[in-house]
Amino acid sequence: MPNLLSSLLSSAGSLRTFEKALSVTQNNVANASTPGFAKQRLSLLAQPFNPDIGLPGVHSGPVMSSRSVYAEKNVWRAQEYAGFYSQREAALAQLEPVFDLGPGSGLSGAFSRFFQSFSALAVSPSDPAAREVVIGRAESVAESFQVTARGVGDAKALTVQGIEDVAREINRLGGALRDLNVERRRGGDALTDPSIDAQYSTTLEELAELVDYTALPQADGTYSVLLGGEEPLVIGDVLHEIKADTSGVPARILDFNDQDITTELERGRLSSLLDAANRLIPSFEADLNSLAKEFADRVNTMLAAGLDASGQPPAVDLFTYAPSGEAQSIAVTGIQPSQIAAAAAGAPGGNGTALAIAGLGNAPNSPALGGQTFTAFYGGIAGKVGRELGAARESADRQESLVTQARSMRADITAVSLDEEAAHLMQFQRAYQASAQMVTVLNELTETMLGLLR
Amino acid sequence: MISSLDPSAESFLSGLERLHQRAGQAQRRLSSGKKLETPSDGPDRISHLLSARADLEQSQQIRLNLGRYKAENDTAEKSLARAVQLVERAIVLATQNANTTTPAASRTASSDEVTAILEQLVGITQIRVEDRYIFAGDNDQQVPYTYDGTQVYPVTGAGGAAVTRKAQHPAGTQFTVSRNAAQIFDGAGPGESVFHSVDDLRTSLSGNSQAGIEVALQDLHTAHIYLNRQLAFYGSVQNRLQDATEFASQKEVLLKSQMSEIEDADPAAEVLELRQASTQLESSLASRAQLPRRTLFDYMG
Repeated sequence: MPNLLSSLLSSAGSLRTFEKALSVTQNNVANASTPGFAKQRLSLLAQPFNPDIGLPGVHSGPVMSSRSVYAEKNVWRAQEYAGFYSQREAALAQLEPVFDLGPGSGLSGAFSRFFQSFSALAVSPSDPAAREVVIGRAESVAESFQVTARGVGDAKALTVQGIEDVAREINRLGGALRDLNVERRRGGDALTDPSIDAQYSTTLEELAELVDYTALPQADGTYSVLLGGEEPLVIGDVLHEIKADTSGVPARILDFNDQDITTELERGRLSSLLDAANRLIPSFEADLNSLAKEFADRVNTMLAAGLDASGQPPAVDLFTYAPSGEAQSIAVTGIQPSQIAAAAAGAPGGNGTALAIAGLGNAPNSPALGGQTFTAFYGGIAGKVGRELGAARESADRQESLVTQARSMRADITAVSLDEEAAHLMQFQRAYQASAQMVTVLNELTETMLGLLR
Repeated sequence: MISSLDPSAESFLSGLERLHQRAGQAQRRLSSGKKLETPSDGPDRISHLLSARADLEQSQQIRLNLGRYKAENDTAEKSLARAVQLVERAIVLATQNANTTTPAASRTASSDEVTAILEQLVGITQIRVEDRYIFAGDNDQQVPYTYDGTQVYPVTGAGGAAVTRKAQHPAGTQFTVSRNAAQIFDGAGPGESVFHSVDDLRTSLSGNSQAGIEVALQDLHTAHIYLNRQLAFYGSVQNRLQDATEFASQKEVLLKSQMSEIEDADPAAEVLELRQASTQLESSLASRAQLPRRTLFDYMG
């Protein structure tokens, strides 16, 4: 049988429910700018009501999160691609200044001055000063090769260092995810704590920029993270750290069992760094080495077929290099000016060889250089760097836009709208005030009833 | 690092960054005057630019070389013109002394003058430009001929080495620019040797040989024609050098034009780009600042 006291109890329960709702709204407003936070709503459930029995009212159900796993995965996937291309852009931006295009500078300028020194020598083949100039210009070419090769090597070293740094960062984020899993497994409030959800979201989004992975939500609210979709990084409260093996060539990533998982990583900064260190930059190095070798061999061969100042075939080459790393090791031998073969065979004192080498600058070359001139081949290498960088920039811009788009879509679903929270606040405020008024009225009625008994 | 900015703010900032980059690039191009400074500015044009630059530098060097050859050629031409004059004087002396009534004393005096002519002709073969004997052929440090008055035939020397040196033409060909002293002054054909013709006159005059003088006179006429042909050769070389120099100059103009097309910035286009980027930047900032910042909270009592 319904009575005033049961109504009073019911109204008090409503007040507690509306307090909770206000608390959830307050938490939403406080976290409106918190990265990874998804707005929450308290479910309000009407209690079963029979006017003959009483105890009507409302009670609070579970706090519902607006988080969308689909929207989150969309952001992670976009972030993986964005990380890949922005890292490629960064790696190539380091390489670009190595290929100096200024007038007279860089390797192309050195080539030109070298060939022109032979052109000047052809006018006065017996002039010792002209021969000295040839050797000086040859040293300049060798130095240019070395500087360029060193620049490419430095860019590669930075990339390799980047692999180690990113691997460390992945392990750190893996550790953070493991700690979140441990906290979630404590149970109780931790199961539904929105702050833990927010930390999962931001940590996984940070991880997505670094490496491609699959995050599998588990029944206990934890996440299992598999790199490349296959290799475990975090399973429950266990972190399986990865290792960067940069001691050899190519650079590798090893899992916790020392298995090579390099080829399983396809996106993110780590994959981009590995690609740059193992394929992209070595291809530029190989081209540079081909150029150095072909240049040195052609010049040496032409000189060897001529006659030096004494009318004899030269006993010393002009250039030397090591079998691998030609660009880094190319150097002028200890050749003396009089040993430069300016004359052609059978014509001592002539200038046939000097003219031939002077013309080498715009003569087509061997298949090793695609039949191009030395300068054109060098320009081709620089062009390749420029093309890759331009493409990486465009892709990075595009992917950044896609990330922003994905985040926008996510925000449409999960972000806190202050106007919406204000509307809820007003609603719960009115409801609370009404319930409080009910309590006041019921209290007065109860007093009246007690007065009857006295 | 994950930003706490909402997506629309992130998008706005990305847009600002792009506008700043556009403006920065236009500014950089205006300052440097170049639109192709780094490989990414024009990856497909780099090879063309570097090749054009290399061709330009090659042409400039060839033009420099041609200038040096011209200096040598000018000297050679003047020297040979002088040699022709000397041979003409020798012909005059021979003609004067070919008269059967010429006294021996006169012939002796003429012989002395012819000796001086021969010495001067040998001296011409020893002319140097930039420390090189210009009539010595490929061995330009070795004097071609010397005069030794104690010898029966006073002209000694090999006449220079073979001439195999050639000059580069900017079109890619090569051409000969000189001859050695033997080719010029000691021709192999009958009467073509200037030295022998003059020396024969010298000995005939000093020996008072009428017949010898008449033969020497014939040879001198032949030698004179031959020497003029050598002078004509240097004249033609002069023309070739001039043509090659003009060709190089025109080629350089063409190459500079090509390079300009590839690498020079268009100031008008860059100014327009800069203006557009600046305008868009200002509009973007102004419109963002105008976005309403109030929410329902601001109106609640």
